[in-house]
Amino acid sequence: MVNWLRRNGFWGGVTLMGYVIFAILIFMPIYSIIRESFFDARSGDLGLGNYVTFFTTPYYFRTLFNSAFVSLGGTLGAVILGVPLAFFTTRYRIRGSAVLSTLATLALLTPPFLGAYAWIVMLGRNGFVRHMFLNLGIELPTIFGPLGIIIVFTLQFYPFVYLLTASGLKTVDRSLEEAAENLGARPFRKFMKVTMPLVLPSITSGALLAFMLALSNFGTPMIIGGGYRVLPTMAYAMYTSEVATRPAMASTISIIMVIVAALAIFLQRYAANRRKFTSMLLNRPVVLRLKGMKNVLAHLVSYLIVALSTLPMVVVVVFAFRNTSGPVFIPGFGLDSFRRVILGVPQAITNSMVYSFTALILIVGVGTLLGFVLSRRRTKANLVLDALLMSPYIIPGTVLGIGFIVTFNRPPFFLQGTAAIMILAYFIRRLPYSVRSAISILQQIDPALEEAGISLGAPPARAFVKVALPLMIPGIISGAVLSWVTAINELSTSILLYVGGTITMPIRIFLSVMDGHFGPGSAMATILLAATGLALLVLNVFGDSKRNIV
Amino acid sequence: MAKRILIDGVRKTFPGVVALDNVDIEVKEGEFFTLLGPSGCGKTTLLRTIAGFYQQDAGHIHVGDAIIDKVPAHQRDIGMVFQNYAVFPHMTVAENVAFGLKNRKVPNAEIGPRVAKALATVQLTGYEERTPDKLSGGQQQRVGLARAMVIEPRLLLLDEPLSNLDAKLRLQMREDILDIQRQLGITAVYVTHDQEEALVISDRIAVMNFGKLQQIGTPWEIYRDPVNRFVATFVGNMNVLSAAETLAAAGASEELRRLMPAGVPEEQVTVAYRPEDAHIALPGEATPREAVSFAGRIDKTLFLGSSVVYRVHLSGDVSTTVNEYVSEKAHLRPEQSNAVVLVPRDKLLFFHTEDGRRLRAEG
Repeated sequence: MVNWLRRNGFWGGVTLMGYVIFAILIFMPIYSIIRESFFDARSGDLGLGNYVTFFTTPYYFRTLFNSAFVSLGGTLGAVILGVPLAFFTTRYRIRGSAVLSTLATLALLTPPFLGAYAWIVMLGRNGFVRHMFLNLGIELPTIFGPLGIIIVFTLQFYPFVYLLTASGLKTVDRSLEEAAENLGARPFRKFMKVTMPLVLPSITSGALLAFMLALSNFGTPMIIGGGYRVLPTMAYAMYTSEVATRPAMASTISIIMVIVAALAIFLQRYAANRRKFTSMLLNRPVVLRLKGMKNVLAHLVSYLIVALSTLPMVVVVVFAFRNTSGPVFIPGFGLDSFRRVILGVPQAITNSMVYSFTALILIVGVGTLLGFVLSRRRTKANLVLDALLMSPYIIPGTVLGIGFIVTFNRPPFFLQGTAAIMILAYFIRRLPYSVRSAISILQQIDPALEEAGISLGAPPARAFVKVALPLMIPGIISGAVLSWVTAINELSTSILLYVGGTITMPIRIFLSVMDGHFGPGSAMATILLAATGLALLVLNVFGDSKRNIV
Repeated sequence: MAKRILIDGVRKTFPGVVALDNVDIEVKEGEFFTLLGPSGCGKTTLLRTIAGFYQQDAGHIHVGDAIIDKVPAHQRDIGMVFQNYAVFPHMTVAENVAFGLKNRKVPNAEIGPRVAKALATVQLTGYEERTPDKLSGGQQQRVGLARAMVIEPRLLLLDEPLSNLDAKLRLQMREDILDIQRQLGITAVYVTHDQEEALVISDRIAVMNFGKLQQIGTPWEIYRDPVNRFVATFVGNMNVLSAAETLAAAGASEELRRLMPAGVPEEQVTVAYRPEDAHIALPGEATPREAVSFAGRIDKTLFLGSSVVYRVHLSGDVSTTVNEYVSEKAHLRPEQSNAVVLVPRDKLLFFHTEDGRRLRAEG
């Protein structure tokens, strides 16, 4: 060991650390789940019994169809909203398009369960929008059920499709479209035959992101599913009912979720590699100024899409300031709900802050070192590690949560119910963001700069600190902000790992909503939104402006 | 300060490629030495091996009397100038130049004057506080040069330092680099794929191809006395003709047959000469005794301003190029006219068609 380190130096040690992190925080939990999925919950017999049960019992296998249905529905919705918005804002002059893109980004950074919650406030059984229509004699359906899930997914995930497609559209060289026109293609044909195929890879990667997030989303179906069970909520339900025995069915469903996610990634990679275009961008695309009805229509559609996705945030903030009496809203506005939250459950806020910032320090430190080693030292060990460290992308939070409990609730760890297990969960789920950010900024930094430092007499570590690190800072900040925002909004893993003393803001909101205490829930959610907005501001001021958020 | 470099049997392989195949080179003290070759020939690999960014699989590198094989890159005390400048974008010009001095723990009082002197040498006095994004490519490369020189290295390596500059600046910078190198008397190893640049700037040149050394010599030797067909055709322009076909063509003078190398069948011989060594006989000009002549027809006349290039069709597939200085309009030959190409006997080179080695002419 000492010899190995001497031979491979500091950076060899970083690689080793990467493998240790993977082994403990990813491999062991997943391995434990796989193991559990092969044991019968009651008898403890080894076999494929759980899988047989899953695929032969409608109660279980229906969740697979349900998951596929709402995820595909949400993805389709995200494409239907995201692609036109991207096209309008990049190809036509839309007033305030910068504001639109900021609002869409904010919507993307807010956790989906907040959106679900806001929709209950609007269209729940006692939702105010529903009430308004009831007064007019119209009975709207409630948001509960698969359609509601699809609506929330659509509005939550379309920004991914929008942002990726927009950046794709911005890099289609104008002369390609001009060549199509010159060769006699009408505008629609030009779009379908030239522009569309060129941005298709961007659209599919946006759609895949949306699909993956929808598939692994726990909060939305839990809050507005109304008995409509999908894979993550079923895994959660099975886990809570299997507390006394082995978490056999929960593990089995987890493994099935991971397989579906891996298949989706595989399909997307295959599709993306088959049609990959690189073109020189010499002439930026033209931005047309539309006239008359077309102009009005383009504006209307763009504003409507963004307004719909911003609506939940507005509703949450407004309801946070409404006066309440117990679970019921009463007329008038005030800070009552905030007082109740801040004085009543300060622990959730302090826990969220402490856990997310501790995790952030670990994520930035480890992520930057790993990013550097993975992009600058392309050894076989590092290439493999690069792929392994991306695996949290396909592991749904619910699955990781179950894996963590199964693994760390026994010797030599005994971490259940501690702050450490929460921080470690945040850390491993968000580490890939930071690693990716570091790698992508390093791709913009010429390795010759570090070599210049070394040839001028700086030892490798000093060359890293003096040359590479200062240039990486914008990328590190971008990765850090994204990691922190997603960590502080984390629900699906922490809901499994928390005990009374380690409650966090998202869990508190979730419990308030489940109990029907919308006032304090809204106040807590507003605090969370404010933190998210502040982080976005930091990103815009200090972050790597050349890089997109997705 | 300046040191002799000895590269002794250096071999370097990458998966599936032999990048350096037992290369032996000796660079003399204070010499401007150039590694020349097409991309992928191993010249940059050799430079990076000297710098310590690659470790050779076999062989040794000596600087002065010391073997530096085991010395890590940052302790080699070798200055390097990079193709894309590699000027630190987050430091000012002065901080860039001072970077190497600080690594060497040079006292602060000494750093200022040394930086000023280095910047004066590259004519960048007054640019100390600028950041690199405010500099042109040429200025950035001067910073790169100053930064490499200021540490007074034992050896200066330059990796295609001019290839990212525009053509006019390139011409000026190569003279500046040469001036500075002579002024400091530093040993320099320069990598380029531009043969003209190599001829202008070097004391000696090593031509490389596929990881193998082809020839080491002065620019004159490389240009005028190439050891094989690769060197002959890579450096400058060269007409390369099949001896058998040329001899079979009507109008080739008997003189060519007399010069053919002995002991090699004529099918195995390639004849070569530089376009500027030939000229088109004036009407009525007799073939001089010491020249070889080919009769043909002018396909194209390309007027370049300072000279005229003629593409002359001899027979069948055999064509040749003549580059002639023409100052009288009356001497300009129209396309489709008959012409006799004259090449002085001592300017004809012969190569083995298969292995490309140089063959000596008879007589």
